[in-house]
Amino acid sequence: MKKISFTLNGEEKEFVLDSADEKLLNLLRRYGYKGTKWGCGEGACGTCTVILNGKTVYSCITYAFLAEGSEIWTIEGMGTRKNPHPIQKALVKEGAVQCGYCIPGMVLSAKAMFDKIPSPNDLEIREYMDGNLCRCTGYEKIYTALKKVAESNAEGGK
Amino acid sequence: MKIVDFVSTGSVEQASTVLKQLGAKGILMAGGTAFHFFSSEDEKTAVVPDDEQLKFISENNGFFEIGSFASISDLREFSNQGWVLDRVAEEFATQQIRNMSTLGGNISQVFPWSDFPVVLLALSAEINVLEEKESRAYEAVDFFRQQPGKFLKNGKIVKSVKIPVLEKGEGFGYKKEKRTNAAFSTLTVAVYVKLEKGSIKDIKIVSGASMGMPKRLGIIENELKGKKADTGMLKEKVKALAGQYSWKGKEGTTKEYAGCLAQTRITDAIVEAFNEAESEVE
Ligand SMILES: Cc1cc2nc3c(=O)[nH]c(=O)nc-3n(C[C@H](O)[C@H](O)[C@H](O)COP(=O)(O)OP(=O)(O)OC[C@H]3O[C@@H](n4cnc5c(N)ncnc54)[C@H](O)[C@@H]3O)c2cc1C
Repeated sequence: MKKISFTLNGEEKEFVLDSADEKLLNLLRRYGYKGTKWGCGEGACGTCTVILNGKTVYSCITYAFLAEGSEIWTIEGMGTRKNPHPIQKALVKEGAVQCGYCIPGMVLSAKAMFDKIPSPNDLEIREYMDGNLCRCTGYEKIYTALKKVAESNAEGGK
Repeated sequence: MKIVDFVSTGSVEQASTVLKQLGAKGILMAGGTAFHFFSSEDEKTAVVPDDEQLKFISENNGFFEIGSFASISDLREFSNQGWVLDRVAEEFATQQIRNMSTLGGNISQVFPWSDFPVVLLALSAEINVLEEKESRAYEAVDFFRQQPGKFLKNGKIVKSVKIPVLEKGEGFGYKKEKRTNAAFSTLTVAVYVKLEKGSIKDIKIVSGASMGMPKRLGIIENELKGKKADTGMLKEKVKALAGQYSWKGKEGTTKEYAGCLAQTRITDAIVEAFNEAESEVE
């Protein structure tokens, strides 16, 4: 089968497709990147979100071969248990993580947003996060956490 | 649809040549988001051009030209005087879908819920298609006369779309009705209006979703042309005439509900266009 290569979480890697029809989510999970979750499988829930060339995509409906030569970030590239990413820290601090299944996708959507707009307003947060569903929290705590990150960025990332 | 192979090409002209060679076995892929809705029986080879060449938005001589591989997010983020597609893009699905979907993909295979065909018809867009190594310009009304996917065969590729830069006295309105934020539309209405001394000189009203494929609402347009841009009159006329069209119930709603919804949203879209046309922004 055909090989493709792309930069994953900052490292150039080569992957063998299992078929031309394979979706990016399947490929990532086959290679052990299981932080990217399988949810609806039809581009609606957002738990499979990854960042491709700076923009979020649903990996469950993205053909893996479209990733050739691109730069991809998954949750494995965000932070570690000992040293979580500031977005992860804020989510935990606000009690925004319940079952946690949506969180990898939420973190990636938030990262893409903060990379583009370090200090987004409420409307911008809602627009950038509108493709990620959460069935536990009712969103308020997630939004509160992201607003705190935005405020901290506005103050110079303290 | 099952993708059994893929070919990455450089230019769009190369993609066109490969598509011609592959015949019925080949299919152009842009964002690939619509492939989800195609029959899973079909086996195809995806042809993927180097999209960078067709990912542009420019302004020239009173028109915006948009490369067909510009994403819906590109349309959302672009901002210029007389640019209105950001308002449509904002209503389109979710951030992830806006990032992946392209304008070309949205208009080449039209679904009843598709956002941009309705809008391009209202704005009298011009669609440039690569045919036999040359570009041919189609008026939107001709391009959308049938399902574009039916004639975009044999290597024909949409290259770009031209829409007017709206000037003082012109306005645009877009209303999209959906059950949940990310759901497909149950009704779409796009309106272009040109006012002169407070009267309606030109108006185009196009509706989709509940209407099936995009359709100009000529009966309402003709009744409004020449009248004062007055909201009371508008409400009365739309109420009297919307029933002349057949509105289909969608996602569990009745056709009566769809008809009432249409009346309200057609009026809202026209009022949005009036307000823009009457605004003092230079
Ligand atoms: C979860 C989800 C939500 C969606 N929400 C919406 C919505 O709110 N509104 C809406 O309108 N649509 C929606 N869609 C449908 C779809 O995303 C759009 O139609 C999209 O714009 C298609 O663009 P694409 O770049 O992904 O096209 P593709 O899927 O790559 O292609 C679609 C078709 O067009 C052809 N094509 C693509 N580009 C060209 C070109 N330049 N020239 C000739 N032919 C071409 C392809 O061969 C194919 O037949 C949604 C889809 C999903 C999965």
